[in-house]
Amino acid sequence: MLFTQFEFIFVFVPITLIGYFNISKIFPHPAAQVVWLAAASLVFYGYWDIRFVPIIAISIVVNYLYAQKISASPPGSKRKVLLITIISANLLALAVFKYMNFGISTYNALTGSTIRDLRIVLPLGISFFTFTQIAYLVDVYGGYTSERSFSKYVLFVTYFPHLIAGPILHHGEMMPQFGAERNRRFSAERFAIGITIFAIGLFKKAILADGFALIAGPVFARATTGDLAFHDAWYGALAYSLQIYFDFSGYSDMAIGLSTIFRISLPFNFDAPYKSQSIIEFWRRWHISLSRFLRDYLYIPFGGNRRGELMRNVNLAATMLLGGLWHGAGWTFVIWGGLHGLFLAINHTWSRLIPRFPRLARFSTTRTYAILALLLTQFCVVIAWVFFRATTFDASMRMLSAMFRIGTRNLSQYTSLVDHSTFAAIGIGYLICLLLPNVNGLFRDFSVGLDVYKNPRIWSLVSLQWEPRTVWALASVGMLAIGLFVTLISGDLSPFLYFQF
Amino acid sequence: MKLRPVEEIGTGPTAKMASGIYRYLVVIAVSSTLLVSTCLVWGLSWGLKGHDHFASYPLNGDIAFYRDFSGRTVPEIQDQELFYHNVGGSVTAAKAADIVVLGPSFVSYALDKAVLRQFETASGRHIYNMSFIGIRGGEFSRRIIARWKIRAPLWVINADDQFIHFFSRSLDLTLGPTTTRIPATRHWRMAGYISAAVRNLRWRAEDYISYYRTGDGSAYGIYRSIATGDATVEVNPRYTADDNKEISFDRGRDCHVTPETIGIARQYLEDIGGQVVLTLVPHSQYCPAQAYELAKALGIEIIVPPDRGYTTIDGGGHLDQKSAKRFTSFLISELIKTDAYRRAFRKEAQ
Repeated sequence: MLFTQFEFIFVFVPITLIGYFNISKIFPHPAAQVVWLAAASLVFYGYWDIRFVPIIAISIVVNYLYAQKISASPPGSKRKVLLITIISANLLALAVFKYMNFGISTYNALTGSTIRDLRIVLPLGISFFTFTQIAYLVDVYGGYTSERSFSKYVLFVTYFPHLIAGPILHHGEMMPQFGAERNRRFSAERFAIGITIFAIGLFKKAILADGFALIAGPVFARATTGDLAFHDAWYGALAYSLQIYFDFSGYSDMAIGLSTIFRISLPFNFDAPYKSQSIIEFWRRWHISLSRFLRDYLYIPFGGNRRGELMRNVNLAATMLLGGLWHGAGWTFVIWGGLHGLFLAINHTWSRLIPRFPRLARFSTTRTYAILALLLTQFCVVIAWVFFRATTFDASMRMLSAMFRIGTRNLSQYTSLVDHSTFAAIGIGYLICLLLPNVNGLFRDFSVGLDVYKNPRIWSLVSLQWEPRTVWALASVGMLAIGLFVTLISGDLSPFLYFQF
Repeated sequence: MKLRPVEEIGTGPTAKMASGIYRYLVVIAVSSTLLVSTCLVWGLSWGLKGHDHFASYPLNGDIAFYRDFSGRTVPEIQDQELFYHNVGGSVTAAKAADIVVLGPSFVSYALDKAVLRQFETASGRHIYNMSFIGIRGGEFSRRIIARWKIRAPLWVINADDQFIHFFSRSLDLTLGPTTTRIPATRHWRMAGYISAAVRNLRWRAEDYISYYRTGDGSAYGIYRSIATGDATVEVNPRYTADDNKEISFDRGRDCHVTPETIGIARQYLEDIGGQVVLTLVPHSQYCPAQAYELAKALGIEIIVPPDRGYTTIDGGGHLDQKSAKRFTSFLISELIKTDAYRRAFRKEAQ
């Protein structure tokens, strides 16, 4: 089921919600609500493909049993062996399901072999449920968690708002919320806030993201087969930049909105990333739950910045390369991660250099510097997105060569792929990103999401705050209606981008 | 890792908001209800009036046809929903037919409308073309026949074995390079209704957008007749072209019918009832040998035309108009001579 599907919105959610807040009247024990929600989440997952359910069920049971064993073992080598065994098993499962064919194609390319791809069905959300469980295991090993309820663990892994495309949840934030006394009764306020955020997310996904996909799709499709014009390439890259932001942040908004209705808070996953003035800041604002996971469970265990600048940069690069591979089994994703690793290393070096030059330090506090930094950051991000979106390395190189072939093209000319309205649409998209507050800002006073990142600089030209007023109610209905209508028209042709990860 | 205390999660300035929240929810409920009611009333009154199914596209105003195969960005086919979920009048028309022809798109192209209508006028027997573009296997047709109890006195089945034999359990849909399970078979009837309606709305929206962007908003594509199942394949200019190439037959194929195919075919014939005649539309890789073997094993008749001089629109198996006329004429002329035909319409003849 997609969040935008009618059966999800009009059947699954109402039944799950009514059951969730009424089951405690029949079964007063908090576990009843937890079990209900976990069962509903498995139904949600199984609706995609029933064959996926045994896979996630086995993953949950095995990981839970190992967590129990690790927890019961005294500190020492046995405990460590258990951890290494279960993490290896998780990574092996991920490798088989997600990376086996990537490995085969790479092997074929290197050796000239012609080994056929295996017919492996990629279970949806496998990266998400694998990594959340690895984090749990690592924290059990480290003694950071004492929660051992199986039903809460099942719900933590399968909780339907996050199951398919994140955010990546942390057990320490989620498991205490499940069945908590203060969250057990229906709240009209949470319901109102939840459906408003859901409406915003739906609008972002159905109108903005899918709209920009209409620009980006044909351009990147052309890049796979032939050369592109300057305008095509830039507009395609910029449109994709907007598409992926609105798509993924729209999905995250919908997840947060849904979860809010159930009185369970999810971490904010985006914090206006295109307002970032550095790549370091970008990664604090983009896919925040993944950045946090990579930091806590890869970068810091690698050594972080504890062994000098060089090793910090090496660790950053390694973390981002793996982050790239996490997004997809393909070399273009690895290049995307590598580019961001490189950008981060340069950014750290630059940040350290600035204080050494007083004039530069003064300039770095000016508005001009802020604008230049924002543009440069966006430039780097867009260039990296080209690799992320292109289906092959050759296609991404064709895109980039067209983007930097300024002298060979009359800038007033458009092609069949783009026109003036494309330019206007991209301009409006970026204005929305830069000038309007996001959900985090709109609901600042309502503790909607978990604050996993304190934003040092919330700025937007239009200062909007949600209030339970008629105009907001009508706007929500309008966004829901338009979003649902467009989704209806689109049919099954436009799933969420991040589902593949 | 520093986490936010759980007690802080989900708290907000609730007290001052309480009354506003209820008003807010009432506004949402009332405006949503009004919006949905208005859309339903308007949509149903417009969408069903003069259409085969919701918002279906007539062919130049002729509501006897609906737009079947179209899509400006992604090619889509409408008839699978209409037949599988009995949406619109197509299944009713098929049920009323005396002779129903089954097969893939080869059959859609191979049956010439003019020849069929001449036969109908002369014989009084109504022929329905229930072929499906993109579907090689016959399982989909079998399910439709079983679901909606289509009981034709005489069936004509194209017993082709290219890629997938007609008598197989396959429910694959192949459009261009992609093969998927036929979507209509994966959802309920209500979803079938919605899917068909939405596809029409999507095509309409695409036409409007195309008109806005390029000035061309024409409702292009292949249309299908509700009453006869005929497809307007003549929209393809190659269909009527004079310079199409003759089929180059691959005669080296060593193909024989398998016991599994015979078993499936026996069950198929039992399920659909009535009389059955096999045929085979000529194409570059067709294999009459296996079809003859199959007919012999099943004890039924088969009509295979002489395979010389057939021209196609694509060098494969989609006959052009002049070859379709030839094929259809031959098929009809032989069909009326078969025992199956006589048995099917014996009572009427008496």
